[in-house]
Amino acid sequence: MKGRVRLRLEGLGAEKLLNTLWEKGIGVQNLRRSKNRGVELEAAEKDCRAITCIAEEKGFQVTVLNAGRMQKLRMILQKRWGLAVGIVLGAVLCMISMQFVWQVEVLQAGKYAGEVRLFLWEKGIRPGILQKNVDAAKLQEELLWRLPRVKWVWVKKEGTVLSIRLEEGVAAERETAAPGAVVAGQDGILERLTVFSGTPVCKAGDSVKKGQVLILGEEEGPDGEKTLVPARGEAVALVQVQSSVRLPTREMITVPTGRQAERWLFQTPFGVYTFHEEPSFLLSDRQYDRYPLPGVWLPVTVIRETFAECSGEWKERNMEEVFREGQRAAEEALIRAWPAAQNVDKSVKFSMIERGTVSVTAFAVLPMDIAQNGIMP
Amino acid sequence: MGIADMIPAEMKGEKSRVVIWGRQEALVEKHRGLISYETEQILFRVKGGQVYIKGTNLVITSFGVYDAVVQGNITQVQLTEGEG
Repeated sequence: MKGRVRLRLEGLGAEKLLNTLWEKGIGVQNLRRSKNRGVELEAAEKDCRAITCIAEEKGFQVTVLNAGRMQKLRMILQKRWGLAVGIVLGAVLCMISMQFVWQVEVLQAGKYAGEVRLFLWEKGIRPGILQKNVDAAKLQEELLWRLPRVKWVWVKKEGTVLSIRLEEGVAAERETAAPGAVVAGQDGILERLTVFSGTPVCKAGDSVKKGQVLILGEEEGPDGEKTLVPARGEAVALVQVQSSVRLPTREMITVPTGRQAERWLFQTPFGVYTFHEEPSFLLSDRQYDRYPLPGVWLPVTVIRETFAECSGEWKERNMEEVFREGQRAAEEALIRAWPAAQNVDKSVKFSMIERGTVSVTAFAVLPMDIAQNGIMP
Repeated sequence: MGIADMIPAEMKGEKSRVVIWGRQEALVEKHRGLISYETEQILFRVKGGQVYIKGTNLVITSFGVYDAVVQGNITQVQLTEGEG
C-alpha cells in the first residue's frame, strides 16, 4: 500500500467519473461500490490530486480512507496553502523561541533562594535571554564560589527552562534565619517589583506609603506549606523629591554721606592686630588694601581699612526677578541633592512664609529603588 | 507469409478479448470504458459492442487504460453487439 491511497467518491454517475479517469489515462484498482451511490477505489498517490480535482469538478465528495497521517496532511496542505504557510511560520517561530530561556527556576534553595535570584539578576539571567548566552557550567562554578556554605549547585538547561538546584551543606537554620519583609522606604508609585525571595503583596502601578510591606517574608512550597524566608527584592518606584530655598524680597540700598575714616591692621600668622579703634559709623562701606612688608621673611601683611559712612534704605525687590532667582536656586539645590533630577521635568512652587522672605521649592519625580530589606512585618 | 501475418491478431487490431479464470476472475482487454457498475453486474464498452458480466460481490480489482480485471462470484459473461 505504500505510495497508494484509498479514496471514497460519493456522488451520482460514478461510471462517468471512472470513464473520465480512464480517458485521462488514470488507472485505479480495487474498485467497489459503496453506499450513497459512490465507489471506493485505490489509486497511486501521484494521481490522488488529479482524481480529487476531477471528482470535485463533477460534484463528488472525496474522502481519503487509508492514507497515512503524513499523506493526509500533505493532501490537506495542498488544498489549503494558507494553512501550510501558517504551519511553516509556526514551526519557524517555534524553532526561534526554542533558542531562548523562557523560565528560570530556583529549586531547593531554601534560605539561599533570594541570594541565588539576586545573583542571576546581576548576571542578567532572566526569562528571554538567548540560550547561547547562558553558560551553565560557568554559572555553576560562580554560584559555588558565591555560596560557600552550599554543598553543591546544579545548573541545567532543559529545553527552554534553566534550573538551578542547591544541595545545602549545612542544614538550613530556618528558625534562626532572620525572616522579614521588604517595605517601602519612601512614598511612591511602584513601577517595577522584582522579587528575589518572598511573596509580593504589591504590583506595578500601586501607590505605596513609606513603611508599607511590599514583599512578605514567606514562600509557599509546591505542597502548599508556607516557609518563612528573608524577603529580598528590588522595588523601583516613582518618588517625588524636593528641595527648598529662601530669599529676601527686600534689599538695602546704600548712599555715601561723604564722611570717611581709615585704620591700619597687621595680619600675621598668629592673628590680626591694630592700634586704632573702629570708627563709630552705623553703616559704612569698607575697602581693604593689602601691602606685604618688604624685607620681612615672616608672612606679615599691612592692611589699610577704609570706612565710607553710608545711609541705608530698604527697598522692595522686583518680585518677578526674585521668583526667577528663587526658581534657579531651588532647581540647583535639587540637582545637587538628586543629580538624576537634571534630566527630568521639574516643577516649582512659591510661597511667602513671612514678610520680606519667600520660600521656593523645586519638585521632580524620579525612579528609584525604595525597597528596604529584612524588616520584620 | 508477410511480417504482418506473423503478428498475432490480438496485437494488431483493436478487438477486445475477455479471459475468464474459473468463476472468480475475468479480464477484459482493450475496453473502452464503463457503462454500468453494480456489485451484481458490470457492463464494459468495447469496440463493436458491450461486455456484460453478472455475478455477486463483483469488484473491479484493476481498471486500467487498456484492460480491467473483475473479481467476485461470476455467474455469467455475455458479449453483445452494438454501438461500441
